[in-house]
Amino acid sequence: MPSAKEIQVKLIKKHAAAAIIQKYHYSGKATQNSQLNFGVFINDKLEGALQFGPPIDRRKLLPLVKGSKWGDMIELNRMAFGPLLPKFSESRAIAVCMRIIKKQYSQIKWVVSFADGTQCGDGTIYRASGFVLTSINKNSTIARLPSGEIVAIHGTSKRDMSGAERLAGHQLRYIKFLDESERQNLTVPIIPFEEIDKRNAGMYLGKKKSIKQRRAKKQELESPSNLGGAIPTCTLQSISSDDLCNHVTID
Amino acid sequence: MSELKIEYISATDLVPYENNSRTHSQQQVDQIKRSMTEFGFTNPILIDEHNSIIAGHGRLQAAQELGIKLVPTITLKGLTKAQRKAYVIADNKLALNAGWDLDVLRLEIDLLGSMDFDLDLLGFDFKELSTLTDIDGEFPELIDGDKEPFQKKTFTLHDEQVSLIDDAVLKARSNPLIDEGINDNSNGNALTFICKQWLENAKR
Repeated sequence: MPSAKEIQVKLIKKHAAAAIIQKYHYSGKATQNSQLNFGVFINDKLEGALQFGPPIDRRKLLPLVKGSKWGDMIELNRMAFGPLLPKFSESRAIAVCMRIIKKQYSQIKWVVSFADGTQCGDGTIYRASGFVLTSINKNSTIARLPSGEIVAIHGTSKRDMSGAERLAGHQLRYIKFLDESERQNLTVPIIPFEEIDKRNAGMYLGKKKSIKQRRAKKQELESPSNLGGAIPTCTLQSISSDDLCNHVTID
Repeated sequence: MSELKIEYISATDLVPYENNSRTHSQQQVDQIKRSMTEFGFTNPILIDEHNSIIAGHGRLQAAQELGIKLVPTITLKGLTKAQRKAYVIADNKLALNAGWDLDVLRLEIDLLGSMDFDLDLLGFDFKELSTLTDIDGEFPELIDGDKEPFQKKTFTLHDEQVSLIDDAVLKARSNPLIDEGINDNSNGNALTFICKQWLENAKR
């Protein structure tokens, strides 16, 4: 199995990133307004993608960091990784993207992203990538339509939302500072990660699971009595919910 | 419509259509030959009742160059002279009208490449393949600093609503209480003034 150091990350065309997102992201939907689309390659094969772009509610998000101008931030909207990518590819890919953005767009000082704790996870990858947690909110925007389709509710949506049912769970907002001096301008408190369990907001690979439970499972699997063979691990989106109990978490 | 039947006929018995407008370069015939060698003769030649070719001139030439004696054919019976003439063109042109889902194509080609399959057999030349499958992005220009603090908003209004709003805006424009400090667009200021008043009234 190759190591995460062997992945290549580079800017790709939007349609190519969208194809990967549609294939591997749990939502099956790419963002329409992405501006920076990164591809994650292993052995020259495109297997992952990250999409960055303007948040829908940028006006509300800007005050999170005092003095932020319109162009000072960007949102990591989507990321999805295929099964061929090695373990830890996610955090490595994020790190490379951040370096590229910092170099290419010096005006971007911080990146915001949201973990969907109603269907996917509570942000394991963000925590591993040096993001700070700035809010844990009960879900108010992700809903299931009577047709079964999952949609995001926002002011600009023209969809018929009658009969939509909000999903149970939380949404967690994370921020990564590309310019560390902006950290002091954060206008909301940094929430300790332990708070995720306290608020019962833990989710991993689409299942309600606390961080504590995951750590205990990991320790159990790493104990000497369990060593003696390779333990299969999967990347975040490459696993079916039926397989969850057979795989190791990376939290 | 009668059921189609594949018949193997001696290549020398087939008669090329004298007015065939479709051309086949030697390079393309070579590609067909490579394809036939790899996959076999998978696409029968279409002929009429007199063994005259309707579609498949390139395939016949490739087969002959490969020394294939018997070729698969399908006889299209009962075509009028005009239908026959038209179908010689339509068969080619309709195929040309298809497009590519470039994302799926790229993923499929990637997969074939990883299986060490000879991509030359797909019929693309290298340059064409590179262009079709090129996914390298270019860094777009992103906003630096603040965006302009002005926006234009568009609404769809019925004629009656338009006159109502026009009347209200016209009257409000002359109101001395209007704040013109941040915007020099008088209509924008008037509309904001009206909305502000409405919100204040709604609070009561």
